[in-house]
Amino acid sequence: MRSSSRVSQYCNRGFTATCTVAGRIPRFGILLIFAVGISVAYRAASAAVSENDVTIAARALGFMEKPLTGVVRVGIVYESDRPQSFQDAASLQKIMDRGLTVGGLSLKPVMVPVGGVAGANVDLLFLVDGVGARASSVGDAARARQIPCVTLDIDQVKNGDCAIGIRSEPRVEILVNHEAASRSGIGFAGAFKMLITEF
Amino acid sequence: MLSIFPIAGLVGSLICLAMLADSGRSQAQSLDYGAAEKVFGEPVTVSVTGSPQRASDAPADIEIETADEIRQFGAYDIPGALSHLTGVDVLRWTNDDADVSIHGYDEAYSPRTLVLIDGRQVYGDFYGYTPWSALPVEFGAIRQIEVVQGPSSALFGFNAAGGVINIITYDPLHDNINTAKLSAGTQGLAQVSAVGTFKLGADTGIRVQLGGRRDDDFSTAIPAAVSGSRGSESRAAIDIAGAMQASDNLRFDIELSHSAVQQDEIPNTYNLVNLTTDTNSVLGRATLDSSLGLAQLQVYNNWLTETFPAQATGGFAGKLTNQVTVAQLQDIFKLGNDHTLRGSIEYRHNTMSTTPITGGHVFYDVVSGGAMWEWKITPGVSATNALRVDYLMLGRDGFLISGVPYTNSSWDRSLMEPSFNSSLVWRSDDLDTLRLIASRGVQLPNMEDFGGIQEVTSLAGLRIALVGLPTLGPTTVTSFQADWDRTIPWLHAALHASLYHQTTAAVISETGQISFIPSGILLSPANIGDSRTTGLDLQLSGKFSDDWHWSIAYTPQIVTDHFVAPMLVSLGVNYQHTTPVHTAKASLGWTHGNWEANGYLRYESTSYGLTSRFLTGALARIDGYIALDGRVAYKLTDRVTLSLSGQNLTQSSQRQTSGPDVERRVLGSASIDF
Repeated sequence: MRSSSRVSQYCNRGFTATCTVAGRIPRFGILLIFAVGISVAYRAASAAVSENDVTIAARALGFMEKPLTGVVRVGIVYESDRPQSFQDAASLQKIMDRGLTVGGLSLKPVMVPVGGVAGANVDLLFLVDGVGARASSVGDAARARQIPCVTLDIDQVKNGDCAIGIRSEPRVEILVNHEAASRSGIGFAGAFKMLITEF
Repeated sequence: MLSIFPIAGLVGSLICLAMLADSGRSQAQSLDYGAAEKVFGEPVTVSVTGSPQRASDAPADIEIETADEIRQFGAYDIPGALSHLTGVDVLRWTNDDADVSIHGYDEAYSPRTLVLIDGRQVYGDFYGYTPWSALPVEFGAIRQIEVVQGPSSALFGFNAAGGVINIITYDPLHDNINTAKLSAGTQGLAQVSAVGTFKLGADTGIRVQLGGRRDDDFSTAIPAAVSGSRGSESRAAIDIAGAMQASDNLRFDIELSHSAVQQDEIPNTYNLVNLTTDTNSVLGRATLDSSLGLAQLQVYNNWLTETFPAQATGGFAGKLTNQVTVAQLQDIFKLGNDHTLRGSIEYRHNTMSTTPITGGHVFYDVVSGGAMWEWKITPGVSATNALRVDYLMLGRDGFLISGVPYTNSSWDRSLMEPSFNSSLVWRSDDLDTLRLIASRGVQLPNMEDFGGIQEVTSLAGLRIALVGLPTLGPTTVTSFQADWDRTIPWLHAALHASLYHQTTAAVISETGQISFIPSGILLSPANIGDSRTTGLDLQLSGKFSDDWHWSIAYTPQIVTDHFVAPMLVSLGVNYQHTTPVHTAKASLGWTHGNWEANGYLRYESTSYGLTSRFLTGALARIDGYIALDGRVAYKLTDRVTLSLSGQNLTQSSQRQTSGPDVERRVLGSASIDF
């Protein structure tokens, strides 16, 4: 199969302007637009978690230097004051409750309101949309417990409150905040790092 | 002789890297390409820049044939599986002998495409060709075949002049593959293939491949202009690969292979002969994932022997022996978040004993250095530049026939050749990707051209001597290419368009020069001029309903030769007339429940084929033709699949080359997974 037949473009709708004008503007302009573009694009990409998102996340975690194994307690972190956030978390819980085993990992959901994340007994944090500024406590918990945090809310990856961002549409992307990952004791295999986007 | 010092130096470098790694990051693991494919939903390749990349990110025109697609083709050999790819040309000379080329320029013993198995060269340097049947790899062990269209010498060095075919196999450590396939078909075909993986604890894996085939060649008439005779055909191959994860960041691989093939072939003398080819190889590889990057040391040795009867050369029987030793060290690392760099050094030793007059040896050493820089300028724009310089030192020792204007010291020369690959990739939106690619590849004269054939014969009482040409220069291919990929959501399809222009300079003709010397005639190869081509690959592929997939492709290509032979005997090459101007391919596939059916059409417009290098160089006309291949399969149980497949189904026999007409072949197969 020609590689192009599977191409779903990196530049999603939010990136279109950036990609179109990139060849005509100086580098500092590109960087500026890049920064704005990331914000706009990834905010637009926020959506309810699908089983495909979880599967991609679990498979990606298999490339960690210290990969998780066996039964993994997944702390689904949500903002209890925001119905949409709770609803997203509940959907995610439902996906895992059906029994989700990916690449040797058996994912067991644990609902964790963001206020209680510090005391949650979990192996992995999955941060759903809508937690907002209180996500900093998730970052603190990940650092303290030295466990990975995964989210579809790329803003939280950008600001360092969650180390790993996942996009499955229109094209799979794994985005890693290098500093946040390092603080949480997370690293990826060298070859896998060539395949992901770090910032 | 091979010095141990380069290898010792490379090993020392790796040990130093390991020591540094211990003081830095301590945990890592090697990449599981199958798992990575599942993460990203597309194949991962290292064949473009040396760095792992998603296929859609690769800054080159790369086509990846997956294991599923290979199965659906129903081919019984690798050239058959490649023949359906856009931009790939296959000449089927006999039932088991074929030549493969990329973007035209196909010929007997085609030299322009470098073929590798998991990065190990299987290209035969002695004749500058790929002995496809002798490749020690079974279909059941192949994860994917990666076809890079265009020069790739900046990564792979000499002979990746027109493109690269890298056959990627399943990993002994990460994959569990246990399968066997039995086939029987027309022309007396009986074929068996088995692949098994075994785990020795959590950190060690072994994979074994076994393959065997017996069949008959076509029974169609041998054209008078080709002549020759047929013999028996058989193939046996074994490959054993082992991998050990020595620590979290260090992995070792070792691989041994052997193959023995006897079959009818059309070599570059353009007559039909029955040859035996034996290959052996041993490979060791160490991969270290450290804070200094992903370092890999690979050392391998290939032995290749070809035994040919007298009619292959027009007078003598002989045995060609070729040994190549390669040591490669590379390191890939990221600099910041936007830059990926690769540095590499390589040492290569190649030697061939002269034949049929023995006692001499032609050899060369090549020292190479290369670098690659990939820059993600923006999320949608990336630039990749790779540069490599190869320095070759040629030599000869031992017996040299008298009466030729050379001594062994005439071979004491060196040449330095740069090669590059540059590309700019722009993903303008969700649907479109544009690539601009410029590259320069180098095709080295083969060992025969450099003097591996040492012969004295006579014609009408005139003494004719062959000792090669020590001053022969390499052929270079400069390529410019513009690619456009577009996803068409409403059609559930994807379009690929690739416009390319290549200039091939200093084309080598193996009989391009005749010189009168006091003792008679000296027949030598020569650089005879340039050839240019411009072509366009257009491919549209997609799906409809849940069960159907399809593709159509069209490639118009114009080749113009500008050859001047110093003394015209026979140029032995004529790309302008032997490359079809129009090629079209189409496929239709259906999968439903336990059933699978696929059909493949291929059309080539009228072209010509060479018939002899030594006589008149006459061209034989090959009328335009349509060939149909197909396969129907039924999954009997979860472990057993039965299939019926066929090649060239439209006619009982059909002229596709200047050799004998190809015959229809039908075969039934049973695949068992265990």
